Amino acid sequence: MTARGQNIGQQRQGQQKQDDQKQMDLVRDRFTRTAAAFADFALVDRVAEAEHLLNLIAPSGNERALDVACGPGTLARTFAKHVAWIAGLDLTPAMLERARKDAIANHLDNFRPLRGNALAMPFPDATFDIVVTSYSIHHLPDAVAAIREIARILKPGGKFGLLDMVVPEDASRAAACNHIEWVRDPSHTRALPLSEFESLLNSCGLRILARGTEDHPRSLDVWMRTAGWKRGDAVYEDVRRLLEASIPGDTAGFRPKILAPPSPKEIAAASDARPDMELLHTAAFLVAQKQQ
Amino acid sequence: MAVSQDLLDILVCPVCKTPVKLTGDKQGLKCSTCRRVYPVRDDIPVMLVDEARVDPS
Repeated sequence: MTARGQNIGQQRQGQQKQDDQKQMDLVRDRFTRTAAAFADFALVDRVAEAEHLLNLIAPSGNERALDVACGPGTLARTFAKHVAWIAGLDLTPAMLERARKDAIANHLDNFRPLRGNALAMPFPDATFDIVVTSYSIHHLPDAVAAIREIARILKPGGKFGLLDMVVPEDASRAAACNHIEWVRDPSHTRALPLSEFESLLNSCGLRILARGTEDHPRSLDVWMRTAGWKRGDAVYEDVRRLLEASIPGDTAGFRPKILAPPSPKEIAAASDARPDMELLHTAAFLVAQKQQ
Repeated sequence: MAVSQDLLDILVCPVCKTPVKLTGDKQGLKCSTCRRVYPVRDDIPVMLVDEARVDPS
């Protein structure tokens, strides 16, 4: 390589490092700022999804497991009762603190919290029998690097369980969907369509054993609240405007609709009488096995 | 509650992948290759490069 080529390479690496650091700061800030609201949501509303993933993986009870970007312990608290022990790795201290408190309250003494970066995990190759992650890939700067890192630390024959939102296969809808997600939450990088997840797993030596999707209706007001925004906030209004504009032809794939208007009594009581909206998120479940 | 033995048995430096060892005061996890010391805060290992210090010895 020429000296100039090397310089450019180093500059690129330097830029990538800065971008990754910036993204990590965004994620940490977001999940610190909204720690309580997000944890309440994740630990209540995502229990059924965690149980579904557990059933697909069907642990025998002796496994060493890891929940990557565990947040408040969304998957770890469900898996803990069914494996030897489970580590929970996350960037945000407030999330790990909540996860640990929740584990103690639920008498789960085999939860092992630690702070770390999903793209450079502090584990040797072939360490875990089970690795799971939920709603994390769309917060990471590099999905390919993340899956490669997960494949690295899985034992051959070990299972990877992925739960995440997916965007429509249609590229224009996918871009519009990701844009709205990013306006709501700047720590959102990019959610993938299901087919891209599948080829990514395959390319990292993870053979898919089970796949499925599930639609989850969300109230716009509640969804915005878990990201820290309320009616009247500029971000709330921007997202609402974008969602309303996407209704004809469902151009962002959220299948949004405006809910029934509030009753006259509610209108009289509220300062903002606009009805709430509903949107649909599609969750994907993928279970894959690392090739022997 | 201290850092669990389960984690101590497997943790490596995220940079050079050398196994880390608990420091004498149990407040850090040290990599013998790159000499980074990762802090342990409230019994939680902080395995982040930007939070580590480099030990001179």
